[in-house]
Amino acid sequence: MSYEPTGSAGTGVSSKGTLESFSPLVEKSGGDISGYVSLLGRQGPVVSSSPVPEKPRAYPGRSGAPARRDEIRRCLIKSTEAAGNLETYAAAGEKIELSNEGFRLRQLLDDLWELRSEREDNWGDLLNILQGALKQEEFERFSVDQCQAIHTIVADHLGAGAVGDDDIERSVELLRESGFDPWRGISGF
Amino acid sequence: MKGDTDSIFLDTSIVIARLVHQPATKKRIRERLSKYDQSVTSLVVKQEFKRRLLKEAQYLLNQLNDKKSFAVVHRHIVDILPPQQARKRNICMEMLSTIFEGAKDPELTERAKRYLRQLLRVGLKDLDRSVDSLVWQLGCACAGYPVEEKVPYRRYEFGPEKCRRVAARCGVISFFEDHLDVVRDILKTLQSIPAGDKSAELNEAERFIDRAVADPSSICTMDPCLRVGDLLIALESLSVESFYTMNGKESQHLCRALNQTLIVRPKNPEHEDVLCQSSAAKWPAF
Repeated sequence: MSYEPTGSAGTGVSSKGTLESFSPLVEKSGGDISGYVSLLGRQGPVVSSSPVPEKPRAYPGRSGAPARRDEIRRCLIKSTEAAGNLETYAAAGEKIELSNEGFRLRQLLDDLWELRSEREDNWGDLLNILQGALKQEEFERFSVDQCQAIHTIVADHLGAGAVGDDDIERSVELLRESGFDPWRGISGF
Repeated sequence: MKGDTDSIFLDTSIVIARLVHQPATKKRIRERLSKYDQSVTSLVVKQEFKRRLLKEAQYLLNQLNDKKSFAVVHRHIVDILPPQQARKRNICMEMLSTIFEGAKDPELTERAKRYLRQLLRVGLKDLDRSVDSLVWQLGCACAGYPVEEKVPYRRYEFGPEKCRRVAARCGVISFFEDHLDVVRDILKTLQSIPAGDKSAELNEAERFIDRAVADPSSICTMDPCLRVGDLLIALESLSVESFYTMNGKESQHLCRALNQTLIVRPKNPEHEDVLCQSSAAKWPAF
């Protein structure tokens, strides 16, 4: 990095005129991150408080709805399969198949949404975020990386047991990294 | 910009717009940031993000719980929040936009609540991950507190807003003492602005510096990250050449004092960013 400090006296940071002025959030440089306030669970002497990780609400396993729970399970298997197919079609450049599979996945997610009352809050929240991110997207334009991200979210976070805080955080991160907007559903027109 | 200047500082308004403004605005911001190697923000920006965006999210969640209708809350925001609170109203309206066309009111209500809950829970971490670097040297203790969910969808705690409550851990005093020359430069700039052109925020910043320079020990009693956030953010951005904001009113003076390039993103996404080079003799007035 080659920028020069702009202030005459600097911030105490600027006199170094290098990346040392910041504490990187992603440790690419291997630089010292001491002093960074710990919201990412990292070092942070400025404030000692840290978030109390909340355990995901236990999957209630309602006894009155085994058929619906089985429907969720089957629907998740199909969704995982559809998301995997997205990756395959994107890699092969098969735009029409990619789009068809995208619509199929979207429909499966809609089906899961109808069953959300059977699952914990975090599961419904994550499903909502994923549906929002995929709304109004043109599947033909999806890259392999984007399809991989969706596949990971469906298979490893939505479809693998109770959804915890980490699942939501990682999914939001995956969506953002792959060029989707995790907050699309609450963004103005 | 790449090959020239490679870092850009994101003000609170930009950080919020990246999350909840319309897609066209987000696209504009993405395009701007793509010209730089590094996006940078700061602790006081995080604190303002909590106060401005996440508190509005809590407000909307309360309204949705109370009124149990997306449509009713939408009308409530339009009818109740006065024009003097345009910023709050705009943020609320952005967050109440929806892409789930055709969904009925109960579904929209539930979806909005779910989004707002997760925004409250992971919004700060998402902010951290959405930038390359965070300036931490000012040591804003308030910014270090996470948002804690006490009752899902209902009660959230944001940590202290008043520096005096965390004075023992607040780093603003020592930061000021280490940067008195820069602070005095800013004061000179503020004093040179005709009274009629000075916003309430700049007047407050001027009074704050006057008192802080005379008696640094009084700094925390003035709750600086709550009262003079623009000033603190300007100081935090000092080592970054370009400052990106949607509010040029205060930044046009602070960036001049700090010899920074100011880039203002207009609210209308059809308009280009206004680029004010640090080397230019004259800038448009905001």
